[in-house]
Amino acid sequence: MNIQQRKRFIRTFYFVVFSLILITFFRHSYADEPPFSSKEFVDSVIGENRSVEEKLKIIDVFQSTGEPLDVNNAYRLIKYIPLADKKLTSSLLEFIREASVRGCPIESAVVSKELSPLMDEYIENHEYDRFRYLLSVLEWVYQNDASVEDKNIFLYSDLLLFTYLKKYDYKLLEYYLDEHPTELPDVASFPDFSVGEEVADYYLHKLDKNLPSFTAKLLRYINENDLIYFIRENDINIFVGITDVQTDKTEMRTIGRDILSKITHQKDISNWKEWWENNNKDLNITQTALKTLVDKKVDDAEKRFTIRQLGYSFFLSKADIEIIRALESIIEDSMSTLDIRCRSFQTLIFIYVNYVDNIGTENFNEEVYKFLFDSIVRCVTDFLIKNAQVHDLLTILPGEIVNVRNVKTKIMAILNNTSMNRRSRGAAAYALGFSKTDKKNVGESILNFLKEDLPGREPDTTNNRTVLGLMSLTRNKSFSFNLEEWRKAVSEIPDDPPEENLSK
Amino acid sequence: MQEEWDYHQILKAGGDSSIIFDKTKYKLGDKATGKWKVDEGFQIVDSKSTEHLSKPNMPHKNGPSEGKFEVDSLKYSNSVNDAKVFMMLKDNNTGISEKENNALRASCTIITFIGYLSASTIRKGEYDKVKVKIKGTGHPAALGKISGEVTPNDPSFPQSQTFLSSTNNIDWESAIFEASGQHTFIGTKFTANLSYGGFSFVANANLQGIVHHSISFR
Repeated sequence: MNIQQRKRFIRTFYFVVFSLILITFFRHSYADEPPFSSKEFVDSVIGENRSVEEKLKIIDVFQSTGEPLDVNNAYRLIKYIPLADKKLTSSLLEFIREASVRGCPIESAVVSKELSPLMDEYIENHEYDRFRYLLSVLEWVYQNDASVEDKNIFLYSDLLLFTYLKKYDYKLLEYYLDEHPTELPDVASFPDFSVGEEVADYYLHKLDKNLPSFTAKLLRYINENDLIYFIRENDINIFVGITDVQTDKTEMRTIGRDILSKITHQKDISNWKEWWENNNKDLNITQTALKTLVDKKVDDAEKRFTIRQLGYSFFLSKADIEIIRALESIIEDSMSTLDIRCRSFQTLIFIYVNYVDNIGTENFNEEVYKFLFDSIVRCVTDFLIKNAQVHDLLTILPGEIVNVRNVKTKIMAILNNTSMNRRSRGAAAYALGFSKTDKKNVGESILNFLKEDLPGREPDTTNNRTVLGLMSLTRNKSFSFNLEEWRKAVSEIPDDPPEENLSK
Repeated sequence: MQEEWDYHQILKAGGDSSIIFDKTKYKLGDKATGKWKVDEGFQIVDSKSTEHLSKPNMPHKNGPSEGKFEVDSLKYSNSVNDAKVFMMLKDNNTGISEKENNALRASCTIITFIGYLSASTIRKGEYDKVKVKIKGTGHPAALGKISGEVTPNDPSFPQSQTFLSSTNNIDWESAIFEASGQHTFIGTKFTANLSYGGFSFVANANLQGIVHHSISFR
């Protein structure tokens, strides 16, 4: 081979290699193209011409390509799920969940409606794991549902499950009590007290002395969460009936007696039936709790229970002002432990933030509101602000309280006090985020604290709170530790108009 | 009038990073190929396959970048849980580096995993109790259950709670955290350290705002 031939051979060789590379490149580039469009994919899955195995393969292929599913075809697929061969159900549900996660604008309300026959079917067949899995898929779709603003995933899950619990017998409830008690709708999860009462009523009326094993589980659940505080005079009969069972179902009786003892604050009652016969006309749960709260002989564990019981009693009985007065007396009582005083204060705030929901309804009373408001202000100035170790509680103050002139001045003093511990100052910064007036001055104080506190420190609760205070003050929804951004945001806070006065 | 913030963060792993791997085109013994793509702000730190495949040859590249990978010994299967390829990503924005501590593993996320951690006060107006709920999806069920731990990042709340998913797929339990009387959870950051199938990663959410409660009245 002469030189020319050799050069030609080399050129040909490189050409062939280059061509092969190009061919390989194009083959590979197009090899991964999805085999179906969205419509073709759904047509193939819901059509009758393919076997289940083929459909599973199609779902798998379409999913692995990452090809987006358009929403109309997603809805076609969702409608098909309850009708599909059972071997397909899991893959289809998984597919819908993934589609929602990957941005397909599926609305949770549509999915919930279309899949409700399947939910019912699972419960009726006692396939509770599958039912729960389906709920979980719905939760995912809800979580990714762009049409729902201000999502509350807990409330959504609780309401959804509660709908089915009410609809079916105790078996579904028993499954959750056995396997997933933390997922049960909690009275505490419902912002509306009337819904909370309905939920409590549901649980209490599921107690059945003829189902001792189930009832023992439910009693344990009631005993361990806020449900117990919903028990009122009218419910006592249910518990007395349980404790009066003359069988060897010891657990049911023991827990029932424990609950009765807690809510009535009665110790050492051997015969609850007899006790109830003698006391059913006189028992007043709230009044008993009020007496217990101020009883010096009662230990802190019972006091903690009583304080929470009174928080709920405020809404469930008519002893509103008495409860406020009693809680304030404990907060002001320096002989009570700090924990008890703090919990009493928290309960006053709990009452306040829930009571203002009643504004405009027959459950709201202006005088009670004013009494409550003034009581909180007194507790803030006389107890909270004076005790550095409880300054964390500044973070729970409602905006109206923070904006009381005297209160705000004192909180500002905490924020600006460089010798005060940083946790107190962070809590003060958070509270001052609710300022309605003098916002520029407040913003500069919070910013100064952040500038002083942040450098060289990993973000923690204190500077998280400081930033949250700035966010609230500037209505800026972006959480950031960028000092320059906050400097700019604070500088843009308008000055107060001269005629504006402090709210109180 | 009452105004509340209630933030629930969704943590999506790896931004727009992706793996495309159509295993159905191949048969047993084939060398299979796929595509990887890593989004800006992330780095591929490891890759892995289910048992029927060899380890994919993905480079430890920083995003944005993309390329192809190969795996050997493919076993064909219809099962959605069979024959999958994963890559582990490090989120460069977390600031956790390999050298600092053993947190490299903890800073990695698995690309097919998408999860969320949300928290809420147990009842409106009660700031000393928080319910934390974790959910995840997209992770390969073939690799087993998820175990993990949720920790409030505040020395006032030393308690942490462990999790074990009840199935190989999506659902994890929720947990309730309770503080002492003089503390509140406002501003507390909850971190979930989760692991499964030999991978570990952190899904963390700074739960700012969840108990941020602003009321304006009259």
